[in-house]
Amino acid sequence: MEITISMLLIAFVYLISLFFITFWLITYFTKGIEEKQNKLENYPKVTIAIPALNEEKSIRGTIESALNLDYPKEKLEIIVINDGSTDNTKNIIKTMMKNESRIKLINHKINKGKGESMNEALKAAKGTFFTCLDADSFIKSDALKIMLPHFDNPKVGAVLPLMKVKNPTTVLEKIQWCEYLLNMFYKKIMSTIDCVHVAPGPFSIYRKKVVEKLGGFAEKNITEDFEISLRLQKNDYKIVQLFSTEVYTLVPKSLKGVYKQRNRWYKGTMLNLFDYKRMIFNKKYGDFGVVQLPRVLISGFLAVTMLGLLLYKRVLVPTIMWFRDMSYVNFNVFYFMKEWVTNLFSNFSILNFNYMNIFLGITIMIMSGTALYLAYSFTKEKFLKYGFLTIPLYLLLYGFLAAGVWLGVFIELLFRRVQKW
Amino acid sequence: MVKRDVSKKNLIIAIILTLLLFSMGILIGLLVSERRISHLEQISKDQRLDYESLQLQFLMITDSNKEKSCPVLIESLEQNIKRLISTGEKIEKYSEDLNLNSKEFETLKRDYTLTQLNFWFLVKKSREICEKDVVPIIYFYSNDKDCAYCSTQSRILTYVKGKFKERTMIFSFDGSFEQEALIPILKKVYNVQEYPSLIIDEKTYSGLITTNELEEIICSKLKEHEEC
Repeated sequence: MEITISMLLIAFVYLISLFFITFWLITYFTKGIEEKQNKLENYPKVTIAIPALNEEKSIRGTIESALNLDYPKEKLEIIVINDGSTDNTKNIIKTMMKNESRIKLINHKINKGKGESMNEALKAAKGTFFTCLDADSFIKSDALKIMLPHFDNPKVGAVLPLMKVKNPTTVLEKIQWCEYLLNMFYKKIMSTIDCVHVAPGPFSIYRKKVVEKLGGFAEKNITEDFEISLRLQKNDYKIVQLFSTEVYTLVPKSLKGVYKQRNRWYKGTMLNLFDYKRMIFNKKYGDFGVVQLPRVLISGFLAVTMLGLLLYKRVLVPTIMWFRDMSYVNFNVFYFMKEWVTNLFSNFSILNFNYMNIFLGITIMIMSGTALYLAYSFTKEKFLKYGFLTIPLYLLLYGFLAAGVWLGVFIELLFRRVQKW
Repeated sequence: MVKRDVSKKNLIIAIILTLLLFSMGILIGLLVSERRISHLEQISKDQRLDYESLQLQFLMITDSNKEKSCPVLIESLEQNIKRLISTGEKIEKYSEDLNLNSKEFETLKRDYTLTQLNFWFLVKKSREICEKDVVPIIYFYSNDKDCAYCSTQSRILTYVKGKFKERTMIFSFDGSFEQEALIPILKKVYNVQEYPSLIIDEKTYSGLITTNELEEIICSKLKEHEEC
């Protein structure tokens, strides 16, 4: 057997993936992810910022879900930032303001970006706690009562709800729904060792004075939620991931939409990691520096390497060769199919299987399956909620989807193309 | 401020478990490789016996029993060569998987090469004695990357074999397998300088031979055949 570079690469990707899954499961089994729920003793003032850009379809629902929160009215402040919308968003906000004094509007004539919008809201905010609700997200009414008690620990800088995809209908949305569940379970485990690396847009609550002390949100950053999380981690604040309350978010329906969104996320990840490179492999930041950031850094490379090898070795080269070879035998597919089936049976031997690959494949599948099972049970979801194909499709396609986006990101970064948020 | 720790214990357990599982996979691969070797050795033994049996059958052919014995002999030859090809494929496939037995695989491949040559001689001789209308083809391929059209030639040969059935008998030799001393000798004798190369009735055809060209050559050698 000749050991090739591609074999070494596959072994490397496999070992790294297996190591991380093993580490997460060990952390889960040793630390547990049960949540202690304290009762909210007093009701601090909370500011909810809702940045909106051309959200006429969803802005009413988002504001209503904020207004419907089970929380004393006088303790709730809602700041909607119309960030240069050209549709009917502003009028909808103004109409709602007539009936509800808690809504305040910051109007941008031109689009300034999310970071700047959030900072303006932060300046205007009167709450002890500050949260952002993306205009495509909806929260459960118990959210504040469940999330705020976790700030009793003064080390906590941010608390995050369980984020789920709202009413997935298309295959692409269902795949993302599955991905979000697994990702949430993973973040929940990471939360037990202070390794949450991103406080996403939908209803992450921040201790306002902490964000102010750290200088607010990064305005020119394309993933300001990742950046603020890195800054919180760098300054040794805890980010707590919860499972006991949920926020629902809309996800892109089209492949193009998914690509665009993920492209921004992944590119932002790489750019921010570059800015915070001193934290990577830095023992000073504990597991976050030694395990989590290297994992975030390497995941894109692993996905692209695996996809590249798989596509090149197993799809591209064999397909080209097949077409070339078959062109010499008049594309007599039927004959070769018959030949293949005959050979399959006449040459069959139990020794023909590659047991090493089967064993290694099953090992990683059992581990991933365990993680998926735990993710479903902890997020209180049924396996067949969105059809029996959701999980197989997720397992089959998600890797390709992510790797495809990563590949695009690497190419664009090589040519220094970075879009605005 | 939160106190930062590295979960050393969990990290070490994860590393150990990962390496343990990976090593188990490799161990399984190696154990299977051992089993494969003994399986192939058994097949090789059987094939050598088959060859001896055929050789005896061949020696027993006389002018008087030719009519009855020849078809049986040719039929057995065809069956044996089919099995031989399947063994060759297994040796190639198994030796590509993880193993520590490259020496054993090399011995098996030598054994396979020699058995093929024996069968080739037998086919040539039976062709003369039995006056059988059959075209033996020697196919020199290479597993190295320098043979861009070996997979094409293999497919063409499979296709043509399907058309002419027992009227062609194909013997494939890895031209780069010089561990068997007979390979360089054969290459020299037939002036094989590139891959793929075909040898049909002592004539060497270098480079890719297309389906039509090969069919024409075979037809020119056969006395009669419905495909010609």
